[in-house]
Amino acid sequence: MSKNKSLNLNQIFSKIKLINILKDENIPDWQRELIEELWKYYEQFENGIVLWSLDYISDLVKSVTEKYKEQIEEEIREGEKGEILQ
Amino acid sequence: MSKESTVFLQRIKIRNWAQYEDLELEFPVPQKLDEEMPIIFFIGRNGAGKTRLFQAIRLVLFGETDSAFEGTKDFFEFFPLKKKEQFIKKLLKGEHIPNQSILISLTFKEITTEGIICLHKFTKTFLFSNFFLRQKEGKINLQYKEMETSIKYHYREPPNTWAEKTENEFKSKINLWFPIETRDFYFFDGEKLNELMVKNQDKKVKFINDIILRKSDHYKITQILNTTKTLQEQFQQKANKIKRKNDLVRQSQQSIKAVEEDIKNIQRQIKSTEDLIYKLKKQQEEIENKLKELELSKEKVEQIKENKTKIQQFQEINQKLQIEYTKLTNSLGDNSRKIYDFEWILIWDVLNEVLKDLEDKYQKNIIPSKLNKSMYDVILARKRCICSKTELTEEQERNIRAERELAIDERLNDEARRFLELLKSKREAIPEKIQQIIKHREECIKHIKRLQELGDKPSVDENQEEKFIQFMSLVQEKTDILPKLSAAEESLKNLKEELEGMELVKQEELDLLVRRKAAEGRIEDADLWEYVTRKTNKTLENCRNKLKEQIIQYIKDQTGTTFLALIEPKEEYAGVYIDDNWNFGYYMKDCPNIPIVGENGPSKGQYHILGLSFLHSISGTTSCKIPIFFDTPLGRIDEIHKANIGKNLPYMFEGTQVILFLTGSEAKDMIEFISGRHGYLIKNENNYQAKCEPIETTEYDIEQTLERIEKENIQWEQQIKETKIIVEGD
Repeated sequence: MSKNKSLNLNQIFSKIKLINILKDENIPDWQRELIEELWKYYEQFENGIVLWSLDYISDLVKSVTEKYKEQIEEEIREGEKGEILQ
Repeated sequence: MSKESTVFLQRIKIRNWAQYEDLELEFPVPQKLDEEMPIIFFIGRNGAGKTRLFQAIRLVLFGETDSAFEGTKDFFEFFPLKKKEQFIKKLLKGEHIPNQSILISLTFKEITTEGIICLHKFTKTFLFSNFFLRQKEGKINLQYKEMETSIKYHYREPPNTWAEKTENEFKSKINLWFPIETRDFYFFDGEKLNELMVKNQDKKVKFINDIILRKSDHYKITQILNTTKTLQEQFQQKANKIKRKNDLVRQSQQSIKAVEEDIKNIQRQIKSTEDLIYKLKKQQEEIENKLKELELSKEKVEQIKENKTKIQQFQEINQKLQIEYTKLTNSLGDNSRKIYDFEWILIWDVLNEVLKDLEDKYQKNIIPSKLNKSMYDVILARKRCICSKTELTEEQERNIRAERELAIDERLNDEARRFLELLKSKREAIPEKIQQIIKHREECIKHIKRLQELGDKPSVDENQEEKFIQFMSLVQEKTDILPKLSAAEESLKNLKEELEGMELVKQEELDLLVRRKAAEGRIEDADLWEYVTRKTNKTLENCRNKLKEQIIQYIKDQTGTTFLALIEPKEEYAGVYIDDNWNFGYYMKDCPNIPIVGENGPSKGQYHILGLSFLHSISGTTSCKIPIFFDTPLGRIDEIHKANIGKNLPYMFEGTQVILFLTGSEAKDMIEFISGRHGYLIKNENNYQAKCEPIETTEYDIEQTLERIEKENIQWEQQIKETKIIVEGD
């Protein structure tokens, strides 16, 4: 009896993941980092290591913003320019 | 179901449910996720109790025995018949029946990807009390008065002891593992699959949405988004609040600026007013200096004023006198004429009277004709002369006088004399009148002369008058300046008051600005945070949508792949058709563009395979793998497909616990699949007390068992027929 590989769903379905979608997305570094941090935090929560806290996520957003402040500000300026041009 | 884990049914415990008076089964389950997943199957003859076991599991988990359950079922119907019969006998003897219960308990083992093992025990008990008998249509029935249902959920995370959870936690856990829409798929009834695939459209759509929602990453994104969206709103509110505060600060700054501008304007106005006042005062000073230079005392000014008035009065009088003088001069001429005329009027009157008298006399022939005639002629001539108003020449006058003297002849009669006397007296009165007029005239001339003397002599000297004019113009100028000055001073006062007010306003605004500045926030940061969360949320939503699309596409593709693996003859089929509403069909290779769907679509057998393929594809999408229970999995499909499904089933549900309830013929068709697995034979020799015994599962042993089942089936059918004959015979 030969094993029908196309019926092994675990291998196929495991590819449908956020991480794989993010790879294809053209998103800025700060967004990628924030999403990864959020993801890590969620997994910690899921594993019962931490409690879910809005304050913690707020701090996360603030620290990423601080780290990439110039890049984000540049992005906003570009966005505003784009809006004006439109 | 966010954490990835696998759930297995580890133990079943049943008391007093249908054929099962007392059943306890412990299934082999893996200790780790990478261990091979044991497949469990039950076989037994018809009526042995396979479906009752299947229903018992559903009843504990969902409170229903099947999807058509309406929730009003009397579960005492499932109480073992043999026991019921014993109770009837006891009650007939007057014995007491103690409280009885149906108990079903399921223990699930959950292993997470991190290797954490948990145990979940779900127990449902129906407690019946106060039994009595009721006779109905000639039969005696056992009844109860009260029924209590208890639902228990115990949780254990070894090595800890069991902890009791609430009924709500029981329900939420079951709903998490087996959402309502998924139950008919996870409790797969081959007999009903066709119906499920064709009719239950809403269920399918809900089910797929539920699968997507529960897909691990999709679920995680949703959970994260729930928080980050709240956060975004908070940042938005914060940014707005700060914006509002900063707007207020800007408003204050602008109003301070406006007030300062106003103050500047007022200050400019004050300056120009002050300049004006200065100029006016200077002018006033200059005038006063000039007035001083003129050195005119008040008395002098008064005298000059008086003189000026007098001059005016004299001039007026002079003018009047001049008029009067002219009048009088004219009057003198008139008087001369009047005198002359008066003389002649008198004569005329006398003449008229004489003439009238003469005419009368003449007509009466009283007067001698000679005198009459000559007199008459004289009078007529005089009359004509007067009437023509021509001046009489001296000669004419002499003639008249001579005629008059002639008239005054002795020969004149008395009447002529009286006339002459009258004439004389009247004439004497005339010079008197003339004399009066002449006198008046002389007086006038005299008066005129006096007036002329007065009018021609001014009493003020010219230099003084010039000075006076200059003085008066300066005084006027000074008088004109005064209202201007007082208006300017008034305006200055107002402006200063206004300035003071403005200063106060400015101070108030400054205070407000200080307060507002104290509350001013860092707008840039709140805006940035809002932007960051908004953009991240958008990306996460995009990713979630893509995940959803990929999951749906995966389900459709995988259903097609599985269908093509199971369907026969393979060479005729091109793939599966699934529309957006999850209507199923397929494509044939001959017509690869036309889907076979709807009323002329798949046959019941084809739907069965489509349903199995669909179930297979969705079983791969859940992050938590839960057991799948198949009752009569092969249903109404033909031999070729049975073999095909049997061959592929081990791979289709790899990693998932599969529990099969097989008829003898299904077991035969799937013998290749079930050999070497964990098999149980449901034995029910007297049709009341079923038992599950583990069996050897080599192909040979299974075949032997199936042969036994076949024999039992024949015996059972025979037994039923005999029972019927006995019942009918009674």
